[in-house]
Amino acid sequence: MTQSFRRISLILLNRLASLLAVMFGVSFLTFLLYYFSPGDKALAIGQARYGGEGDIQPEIAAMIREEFGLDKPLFSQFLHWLGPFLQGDFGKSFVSQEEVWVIFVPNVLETLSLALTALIIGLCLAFVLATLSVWKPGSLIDRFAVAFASIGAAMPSFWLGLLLILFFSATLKWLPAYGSEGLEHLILPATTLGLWVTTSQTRLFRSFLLEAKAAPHLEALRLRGVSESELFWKHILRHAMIPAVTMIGVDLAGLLEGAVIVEVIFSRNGIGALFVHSVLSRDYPLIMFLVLFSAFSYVLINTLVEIVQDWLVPIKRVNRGAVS
Amino acid sequence: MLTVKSLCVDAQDTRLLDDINFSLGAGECLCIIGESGSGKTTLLKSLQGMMPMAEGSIHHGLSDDGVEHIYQPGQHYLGLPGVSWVMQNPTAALNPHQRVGDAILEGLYSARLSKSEQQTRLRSALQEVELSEELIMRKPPQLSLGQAQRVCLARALISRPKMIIFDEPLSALDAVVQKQIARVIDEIRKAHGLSYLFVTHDLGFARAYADQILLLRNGKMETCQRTDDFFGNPASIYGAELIDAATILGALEQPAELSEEIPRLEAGQ
Amino acid sequence: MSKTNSSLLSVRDLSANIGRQIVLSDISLDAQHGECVAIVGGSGAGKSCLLRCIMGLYRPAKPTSGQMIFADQMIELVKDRSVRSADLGFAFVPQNPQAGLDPLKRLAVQWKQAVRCANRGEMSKEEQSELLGSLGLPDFGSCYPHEWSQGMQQRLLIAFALLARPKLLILDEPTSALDPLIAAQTITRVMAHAKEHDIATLIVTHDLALAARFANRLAILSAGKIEEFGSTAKLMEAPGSDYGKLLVSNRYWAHQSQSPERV
Repeated sequence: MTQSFRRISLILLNRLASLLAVMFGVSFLTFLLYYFSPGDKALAIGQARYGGEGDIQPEIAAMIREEFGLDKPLFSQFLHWLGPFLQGDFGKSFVSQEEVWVIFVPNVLETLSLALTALIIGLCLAFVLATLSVWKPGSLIDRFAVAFASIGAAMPSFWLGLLLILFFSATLKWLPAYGSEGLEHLILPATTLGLWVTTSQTRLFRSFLLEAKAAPHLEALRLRGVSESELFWKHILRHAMIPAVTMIGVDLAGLLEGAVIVEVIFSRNGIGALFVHSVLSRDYPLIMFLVLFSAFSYVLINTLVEIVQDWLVPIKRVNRGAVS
Repeated sequence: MLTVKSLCVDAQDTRLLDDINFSLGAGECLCIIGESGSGKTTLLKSLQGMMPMAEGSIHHGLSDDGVEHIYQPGQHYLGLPGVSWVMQNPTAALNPHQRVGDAILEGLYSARLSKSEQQTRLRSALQEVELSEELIMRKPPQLSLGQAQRVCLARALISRPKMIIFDEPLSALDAVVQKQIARVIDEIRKAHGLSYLFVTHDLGFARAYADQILLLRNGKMETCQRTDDFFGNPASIYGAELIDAATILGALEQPAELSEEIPRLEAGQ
Repeated sequence: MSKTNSSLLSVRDLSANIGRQIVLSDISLDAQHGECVAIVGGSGAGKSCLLRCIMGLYRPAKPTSGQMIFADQMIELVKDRSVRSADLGFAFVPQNPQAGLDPLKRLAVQWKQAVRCANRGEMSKEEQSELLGSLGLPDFGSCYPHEWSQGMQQRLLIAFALLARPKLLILDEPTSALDPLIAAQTITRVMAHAKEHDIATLIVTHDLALAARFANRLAILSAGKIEEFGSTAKLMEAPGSDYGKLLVSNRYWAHQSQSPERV
């Protein structure tokens, strides 16, 4: 037990260092983009704050400039943001004057619920399709599954979303088209996203399963009298899980990033929508936070994947940095 | 030709080879016998200059000037001059996209020879390893393992080396093919007076073709004896155990008398 | 079958193809209870195809004709696609450990699985230690396959085969993956165990010398055909077929001449 604890701690430590480096790099790059974007920042901020009621008076612009230190050199402007950030003050939105954190939390929970639901739906479907198609490779059901995955990959998610809305909301009136209140509001968007997950994962999982089925030791197990179903559930699946976990991590990161289009179409207040709005309104503190959150979640998911892989694969890699 | 004195090789904290001593004369064949993990590969690597010596020295008279050269710890050297290599796995040693003829000619990479000279050497190399010239245009995947190993041998020969180092060249081959190629290897040695350093775990080969046997175990030299001495009166218990094992596996059987001439497999098998 | 057949295994007229290519033609051989039969041939001769057909592994080679009688049970090779597994009395030791052990599962788990699937009920701790010990193997602990050396893994495969109390033990190139010392120990122990428990063995090898040391009878296989099949002693003395002669006369390393020529 302590051995695996040691290993996991080492993974986390390694990751922590790279996490900090990534966060720093990402935030600085984003800041640079903002800094070099055209237009007078003070005016933009004033516009966002006081809502486009004509031009901003020069005094107000000057006040804003002073407040945000906009005439200071590049690096000190960066530090002007970084300093408070490190102490937990994530700034206030230019638009709504609310704390960034307060705006962020309900949105991220929305996105999380959508993402996890979509992931689960998508993975279950992918698993079923992949298993069926591997049962008899080359058969009708195999070809159907592959075709389904290919067609799905070609379908744009907004088109699918709109179709679903048209069919299930407008025509059949079974499900609501927009909003985020209840479970039924989750179904259509989760299905749209879930189908996206299914299409990417089915082909992958199918090939992982095929590879696992071709492993050399399976025949010896058959000769020992192990039943086909035991072979599948205990051996083949386990082997296929190893590469599958990595790919699922990739998809989860993408989902968390806020399947923007789906959120916009179904009018859900998720991270994706928040991203779009903050960029459109030049809401700099919010943008920075969201970008950092993206980077952080990528690293987090990668770390989780690595931990799961470490648990799944008994042959440990020799180099773990400081491990002797 | 080659003398190794008190050779020691370390890696980090462990001593991989300890106090290895042997001397290989011109035209002789020395078999390095050892199980996996005994240090055979390390020994070859240190001869090649790929693993640094911790202690000891390597003396060789392989250069063209005929003078004895000495390598000592701390010196960097890129292999022994005038030495060719034949490795265990012919599939890995040959470029699958390269034709046999070109592969063999690669052995001449350092020599500057005219095209016609090259062709002559190619033909004679093929003859020596008993491969037909038709195979020049083929590619390695089209060859049997035995043929592929003969190609590697031809490649090693074409540069007219003074010494050839073999790293278990027969292990990947069939029993029958092993015997055939072993004969070819021996005939080549006798015809050209080459020295051989032959790593193997097969005592049967050693008894048939080696002049000396160097027995390695866990990086230490158990014994280094002339072949007849080793089989008649092995200086180490481990050696005796190995001889017993080889007897059990049938590797050391000798014909009381052969009833017929040994038929050769068709050339190029 | 009214006539009692003393053969444990009897293969008749087995032919097999891979696609359109014939890999085995009219193979007939048999093995008695407790006997050791060796199948000897070069690479590409069809040894592994033959084994696979006998064991019911019909990929890639599929039988096109032939029958097999094992322990008085008739098996139509073409029709019967089921794997001849441990509970039928077969046991197989593959050539190398990668082909026999799941790298993701602990050894103890795989052992329990094998015991369960061999239909032989429980195996007591003492029995397990005895079997493992007879092959020079320690207790599993919580080890994974890669934590044991190749030699140990290979010997473990033999233990796996023996735990099923088979009637027929099939060894595929038993010594090629092992160092000579361990190979000699292992094969002696296996053959001793087989003799003690009256287990027939079928050894597939390319090494005639090895086969001659242990087998009662030999089958020489070349290009998918059985060139000869008979008692070892007779075959060694006077091989009938050309290929047989080739094998027999090539089983020795050439005798070293007294004074090697020096140039």
